[in-house]
Amino acid sequence: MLRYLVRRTLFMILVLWIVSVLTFVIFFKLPVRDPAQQIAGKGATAEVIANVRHQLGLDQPLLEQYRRFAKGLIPLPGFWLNEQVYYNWTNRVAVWEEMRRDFPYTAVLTFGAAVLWLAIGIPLGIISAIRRGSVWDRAGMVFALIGVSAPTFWLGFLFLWVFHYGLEMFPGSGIPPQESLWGSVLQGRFFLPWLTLAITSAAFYTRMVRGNLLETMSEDYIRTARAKGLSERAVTYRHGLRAALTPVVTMFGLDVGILLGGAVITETVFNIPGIGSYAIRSIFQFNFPGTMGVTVFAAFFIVVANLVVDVLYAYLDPRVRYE
Amino acid sequence: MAEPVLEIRDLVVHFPTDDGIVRAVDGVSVAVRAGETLGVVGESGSGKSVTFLTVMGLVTSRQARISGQVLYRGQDLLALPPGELRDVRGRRISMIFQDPMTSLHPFYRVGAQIAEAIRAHDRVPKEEANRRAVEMLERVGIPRPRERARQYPHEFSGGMRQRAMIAMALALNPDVLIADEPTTALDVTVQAQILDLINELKHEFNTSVVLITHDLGVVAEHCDDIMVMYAGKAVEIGRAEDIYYRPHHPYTWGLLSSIARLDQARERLEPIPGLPPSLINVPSGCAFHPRCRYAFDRCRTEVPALLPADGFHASACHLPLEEKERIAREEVVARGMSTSVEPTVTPPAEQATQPLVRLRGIKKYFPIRRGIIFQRHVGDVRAVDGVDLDVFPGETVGLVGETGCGKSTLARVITRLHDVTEGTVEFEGRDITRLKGEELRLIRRDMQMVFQDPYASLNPRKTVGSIIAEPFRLHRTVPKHRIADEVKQLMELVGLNPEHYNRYPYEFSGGQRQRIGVARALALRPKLIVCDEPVSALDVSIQAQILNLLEDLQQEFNLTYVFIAHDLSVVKHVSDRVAVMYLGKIVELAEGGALYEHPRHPYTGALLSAVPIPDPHLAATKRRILLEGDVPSPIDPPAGCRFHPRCPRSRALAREQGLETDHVPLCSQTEPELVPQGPSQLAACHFPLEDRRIVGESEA
Repeated sequence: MLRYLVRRTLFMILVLWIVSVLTFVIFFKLPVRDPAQQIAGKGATAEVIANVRHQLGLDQPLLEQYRRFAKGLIPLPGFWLNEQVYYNWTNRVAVWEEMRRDFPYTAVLTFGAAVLWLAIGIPLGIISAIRRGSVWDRAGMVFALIGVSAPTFWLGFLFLWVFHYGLEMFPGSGIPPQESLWGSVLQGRFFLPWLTLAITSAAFYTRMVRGNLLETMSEDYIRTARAKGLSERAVTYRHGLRAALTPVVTMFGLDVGILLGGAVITETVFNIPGIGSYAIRSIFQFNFPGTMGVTVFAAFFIVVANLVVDVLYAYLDPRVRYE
Repeated sequence: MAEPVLEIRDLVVHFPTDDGIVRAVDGVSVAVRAGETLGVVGESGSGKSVTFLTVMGLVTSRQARISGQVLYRGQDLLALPPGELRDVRGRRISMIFQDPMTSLHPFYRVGAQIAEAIRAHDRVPKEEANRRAVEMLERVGIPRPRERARQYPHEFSGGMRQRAMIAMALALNPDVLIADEPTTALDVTVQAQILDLINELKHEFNTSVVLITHDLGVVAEHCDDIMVMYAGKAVEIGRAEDIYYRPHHPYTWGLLSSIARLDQARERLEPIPGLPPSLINVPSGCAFHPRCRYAFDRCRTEVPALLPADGFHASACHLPLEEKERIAREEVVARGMSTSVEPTVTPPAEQATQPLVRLRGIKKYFPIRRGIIFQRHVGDVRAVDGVDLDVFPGETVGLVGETGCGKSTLARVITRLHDVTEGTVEFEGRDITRLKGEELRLIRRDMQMVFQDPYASLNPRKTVGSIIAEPFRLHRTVPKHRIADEVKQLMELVGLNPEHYNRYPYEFSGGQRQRIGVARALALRPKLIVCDEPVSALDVSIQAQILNLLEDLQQEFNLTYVFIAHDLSVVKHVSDRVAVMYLGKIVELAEGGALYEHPRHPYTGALLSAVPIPDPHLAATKRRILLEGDVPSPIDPPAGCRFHPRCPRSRALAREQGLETDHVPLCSQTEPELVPQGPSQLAACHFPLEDRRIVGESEA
């Protein structure tokens, strides 16, 4: 298992490196506009632009530029997103500083939504499966269909319209800068974003749990469990659900990993200053260090989530063993 | 005769479906007697499993319309509320199933699963239940039970899992054990172990057993009473001797004459014509009449009742009793009794002709790799490990052996579906080992395959016509405008209705699909056809039809067959010569009759002795050589003779010679060569068996 972890970690580093190279190449070799000109602003003289270019190191050879950025990706103190290179090109604040400021918002958004979608998706899936064909099942499937088909931004605006503007139950979008994160949570500012993010996932989870459970309940070992004389409850929960939920763990881990790297659409719709918003801002402002930082950060969560899921899977399914 | 513990009365189980009502069980009455074994025989769809799943309450009134009674100690189980039925289920009546691979929960330890069964009925502490689980594992013959109880099902072999299932079923000492095809998924040597175990435990626990199977051999050896089922009805019930020596129902006759038997000379099988009936549109009158040779007018209109002939023995057939007795005596049993050994079919003049296929030193290793990106080679599965074999034109060479012996891999090597790791493959004297591209394509015209699973090996989205025409299109041996005619001719040749040209595979039964497979293989008029378990997925009555078809085609087109099967009776029936494989090597190669008469290799002997014979008297006198344990891993085969760790002969010799080791050193150190042992018989054994018959040999 240890050997496996070591090798997986090496593999992760390789993946992150490839991501960083791709990000770099996309930014510098496929430029829409000259970043120096963009940052210098409209009507800047050639001299100013050259000056900016020099300051940002954009006049150096490409390889040298890459070397500077790559150095900042080495996860050691002094290297890791060092401020000499990784600062926001528009306001000169360190990228690391900005990401540390924004990440808690994304984390709260993600975990709150995750709890919500598990709480909705799994029970609904179970009820739909064991009461197959009942009103519950049909209602669950209608919900799943709507949830899966509705685009996140549309759901976000719908909820704002109904619950904020209509019923005035929850605050609208935006988070006042002076308010603490916990203050915002207590104000209920996160409720609608959570709901928006949770509905789509919950719909997927409902379908998945239902499908898995139905499939599992027709397995031979379920027949064995019944033949032993176990109660239907024990058969469903101890034998059926145990096997049916294992793949859900995989999906859950990956979903959380992806969202921690920024829930772009939801953060934008509700104007939440999280990693997703920061990513969007960095891209539009031609802030390459920010873009690079966020990309690697997001990739890091996805790769780690993958590893966690794999290790967890070995624990959940005894047939899976890593060497 | 003992008192019944379980009595089924007029049980009817109908499943409503969109296509109509499936009459799975249609009025079955039968009793299970205390301490005895009831065999239930029938083909797929005869209702045998559904009957007993209903008894267990595993088919419920939510799924089906159920009527009748299931009396257990005077109590009607069908009328019990679910809670009380659950109390009977698992404690008083328990059940084991066909596929031990899927019948245990993959996520829980084996011991815990048995303990769970105990705790479902007895309020005992967990430790107590675990202790009893270990005890049960020991009683079903699982070595190191304490350790094994803590393992997961995937760490058990198939045979071990079935033992664990039996341990679970008997943990609460039930009155009745229902075994639904308990050995169908297992190798013949393991099958023998499991059946013996069930028999032993039956006496030890004084349990009644219901043995559901399609294999008449299995029931003959172990059953007291037998019920033969057809289309949801019991067509004949009797003591085992009644069924085998005085069978009264034409369907029973058909079953008895359509099975290939180990103890009989190679003669043509008599299949039951036609197909098993649809359970939605069951034929009028006697459901068997469309397939019955003796049917007359009354059979078409009036459903025959199950009437007793003499005391207990009963059959549901309109033929007069005297007529039944006469036919059974003269046509069925007499035929089965002809056990005298006739001179077997003369083998083709071997050395005279050049072999069609010549294999020399064939090795096929499948590498095992580890690692995510950079894969390291950590070992090999030695599927085939040094095989020499000649196949002569016009003959049938049978390949037999347990799961994992390499027989299918060898077949694929012959047809170049696998590249060899080492060795040469010659076809008609030409080295085809490394042929590629166009040349390989040309040679494939001459060699075709028929596969095991006729459900999986036909493309479901193509019509039968285009499936059979595929070889013509690929090889362009027939001009386009003539393809349809050719295909129709082929269909007729293999006994399919050419009008069904445009139908899809799902519209055909298993036997018909296998005919499609044969037609496709035959399209290019190949010289060699490799049949990989062509009948093992089929019902007994259909098996005989396909085997006969293959034989007819061989004669008509002078075909050469390599015939792979795990069923030794079937292999014996079709083969001129038989090669027995064990762990990637041929351990014995002989002309069919000789091999079955006097096997030289102890493994062959054990295999043959494990085959159940459909004849209760003969079976009772048969000497059985039980092999211990399972086939070792082909990744790291044992040193010396690969068979020695399981070899009863090497063990016995070591004991005789007073050696301290379990085995004779020669066996555990030196690998035996495949050398001649008498005329036209080769065996790879240092101490070949003496001249003696395994089958039919008495204990004395």
